[in-house]
Amino acid sequence: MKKALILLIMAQALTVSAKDCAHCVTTPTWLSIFNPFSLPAVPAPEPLIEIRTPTLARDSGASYCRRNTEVVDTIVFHHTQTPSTSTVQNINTLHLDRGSAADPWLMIGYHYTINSPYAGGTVPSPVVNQGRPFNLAGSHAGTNAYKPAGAETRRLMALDGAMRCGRATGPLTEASDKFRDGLVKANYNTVAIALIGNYAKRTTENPGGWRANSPRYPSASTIEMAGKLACELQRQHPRLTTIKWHSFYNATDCPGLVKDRIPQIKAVAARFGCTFN
Amino acid sequence: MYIQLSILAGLLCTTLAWAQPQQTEMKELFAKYDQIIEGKKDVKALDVFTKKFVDEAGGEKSLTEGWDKTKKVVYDLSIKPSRSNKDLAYIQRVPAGSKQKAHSSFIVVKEQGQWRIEGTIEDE
Repeated sequence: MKKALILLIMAQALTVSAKDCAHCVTTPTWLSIFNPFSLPAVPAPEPLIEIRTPTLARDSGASYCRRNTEVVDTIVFHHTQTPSTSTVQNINTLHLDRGSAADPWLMIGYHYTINSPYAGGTVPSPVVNQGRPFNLAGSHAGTNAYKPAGAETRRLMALDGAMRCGRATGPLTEASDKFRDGLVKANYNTVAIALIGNYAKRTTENPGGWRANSPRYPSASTIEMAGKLACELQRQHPRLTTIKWHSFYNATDCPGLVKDRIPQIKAVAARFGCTFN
Repeated sequence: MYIQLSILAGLLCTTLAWAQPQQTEMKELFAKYDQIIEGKKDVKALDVFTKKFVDEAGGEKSLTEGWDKTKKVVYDLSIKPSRSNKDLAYIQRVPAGSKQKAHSSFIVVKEQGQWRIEGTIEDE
C-alpha cells in the first residue's frame, strides 16, 4: 500500500512538470517529487494588445540616457499635433531633425505611439507602435521639467546606475541632472505615449486644431487601446502607477482634449485589473 | 591658387543661392497664411497648405472660414531646414522682438515645387 502511494505521488509529479502551454509556469520535476501538493501550472496572462516594433532610424552621434526601468512610475500622454495620418516613421523623422547638428536627438522622443482615428472618423482601428525603447529616457516632457516624486522613486533614482548618459561613441556616466531642488527630472521617471493627431483648439499657431463648436476627441477605440496599453505596461513594470499629461509638466496645449479622456483611459485599465492614480 | 579661390567662391555662391530663395519663399508663404486668417478671399487654402492637410481639415472652406478675429501681429520667423530632407523645414513664429518661446513648429514641405504648410508638431 505504501509503495503504491509513493508510486502514485511520483507519477503525479512527472505529470505536473509536463509543459503543455507556452505561457505556463511549472514546478521542476525534482521539486515536485518532494512536494506532493504541487499546484497545477498557472498560465501567465496573454498580452492585452499587440505592440508593433518597427525599425526606426537613430542618430548614432546623439546622446542618450539608459535607465533602470524601475525608476519609471508615470505614464505621460501627448498628442503629436500632426495630421492623424502621420506614421510613427514620420514622427521619428521629424524628431531626428530636433536639436542641432552638434547635439541631435537620438530618435523619436516618445516610447509608444497610437495611430488615432478621430471620434466619428472612418480610419482603421488603432495600432500601437513602439518608439524609443522603454529603458531609454524619453524626450517629451521638457528638458527643464522637474516634478515631485514619491520616496521610493527618489531612492531608486539616487542609486548609481539609475540613469547613465552619454553617446554611443563613448562611455556612459551617471546623469548629474537627476534632481533639482529635491524634484525629479520628468523625462527620467516617465514613459511617453503619444496619440498621433491634433486634439488642441485651432489657433493661428495651430491651424490643424479643431474649430470652435466642433471639439475633437479621441475615438472610443483609441481610448480603449490607450487604456489597454497603460495596463499592459503596468503588468510589465509594476511601479508604473500614475498617469499624467504633457501640460502637467509644461506650458503647452498638448495633449489637447486627450486630457479630458484620461479618466476613461484609467477606467479601461481598471477593467483589466490595473489601477492608476 | 586663383583657380582654387574661384572654385571656392562658386561653391559659396551656390550655397547662398540655395538658401536665399528658401527664406524669401517662407516669408511669402506665411504672408499668405496671415491673409487666410484675416479672411482675404483672393488666397486659396491650397496656395498655403498641402492637399493632405486640407483634406484632413475637411476641405478648403473649413480652413478659410471661422478664424477668430485677432490683432494683427508681426512675427519673427525662425527657419530650420531638415538635416536629411531638402524639401522639409520647420518654422517657429514668435511676436517680433519678444522673448517668448514657441511651443510648436510649423512643418513645411515642398509640394509640386512649392512650399506648403503640412501641419504643426508640438515641441518638447
